Amino acid sequence: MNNTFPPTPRINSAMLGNHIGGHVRLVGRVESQNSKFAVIVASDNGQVHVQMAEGAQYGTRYMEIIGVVNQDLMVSELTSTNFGDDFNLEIYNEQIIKAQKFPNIF
Amino acid sequence: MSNFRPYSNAGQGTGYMQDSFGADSAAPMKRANNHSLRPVTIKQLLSVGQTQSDGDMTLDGRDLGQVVFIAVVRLISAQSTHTTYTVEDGTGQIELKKFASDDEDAVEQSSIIQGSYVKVVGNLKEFQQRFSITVHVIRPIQDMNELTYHNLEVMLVHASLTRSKIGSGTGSNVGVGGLVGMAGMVGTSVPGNMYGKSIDDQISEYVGNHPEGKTNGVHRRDITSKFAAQMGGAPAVETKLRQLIEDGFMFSAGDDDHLMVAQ
Repeated sequence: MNNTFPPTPRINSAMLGNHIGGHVRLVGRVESQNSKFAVIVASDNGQVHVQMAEGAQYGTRYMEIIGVVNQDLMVSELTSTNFGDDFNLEIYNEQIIKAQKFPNIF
Repeated sequence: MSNFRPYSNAGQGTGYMQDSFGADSAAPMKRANNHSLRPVTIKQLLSVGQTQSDGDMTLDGRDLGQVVFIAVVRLISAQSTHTTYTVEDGTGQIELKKFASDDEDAVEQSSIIQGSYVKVVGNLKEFQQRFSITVHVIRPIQDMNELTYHNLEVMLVHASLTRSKIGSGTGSNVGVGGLVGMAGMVGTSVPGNMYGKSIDDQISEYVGNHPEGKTNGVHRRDITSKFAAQMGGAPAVETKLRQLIEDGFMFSAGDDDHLMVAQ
């Protein structure tokens, strides 16, 4: 696990249900956070609850969370990346929806 | 920094990226094509065609020259002559080899840390069935919108290389999975007509060959009246046109009612 990184499909809140138990990449706007949990507004405007990794802190308005989708659709964070304070979620959402038509690429 | 878009094709005007890999035809690719810069995902890199006798690697039937992709740095290992990075982009992971050079921006290079997104330009290498990238340029991404842009461009280039050329029938794009399914007849089940062409190809051909097809675009009305009988009504044609536009095969020209074919 240390040197291999599983594929992580880019998803929005509507796609969570198709990835229960799987690794995903979720980009969204940080709505709220305490040190344990965060609420992320995904690119399709749906709220996603995230169980933050230990010691994690989201430093920018937009974040990419890599994590595992739980039964209850909460995402357990493994790691996260700052996506800055200026990110166009709307176009991103279009992009990841289009990407589903290209399973050979993504 | 974010102006660095060596492969962008702004200003082409047609609303669709020109095929920079040479005109139509599956003519044998020449060496010159190895100077091309192809936007890709790591998954695509790991799926490149079997190395041929002359050692060229192919993707979507085209020789692979330089590639550009965006990924997250996961591991960094500095050696005396070069630095090795392990990167992943959610579609796969690959190792990068960057040899030290004099003309690089030390500050920029030092800002490449674990967990940061980078844009990489390089060449794909295969050694003992392991793929790696020899890096020409690696730089940190400052504006994450570049990621969206890159992924869109990856799809665009793939689509323009693999979608069925007008009137070319099937043949060359068998096995290109996604695209065939995408261009396929979602929703409509009208089989090919006597020419054996799909309705998509027929519409493309009609618009492409229309006297106005390359100048002002063809009015929706004309397309609809031409194909309504065949497709079982005008609404079916409208739906098909909307789908073709959405999938980037057609676009509106002068106004919303005049359509042209992307090619």
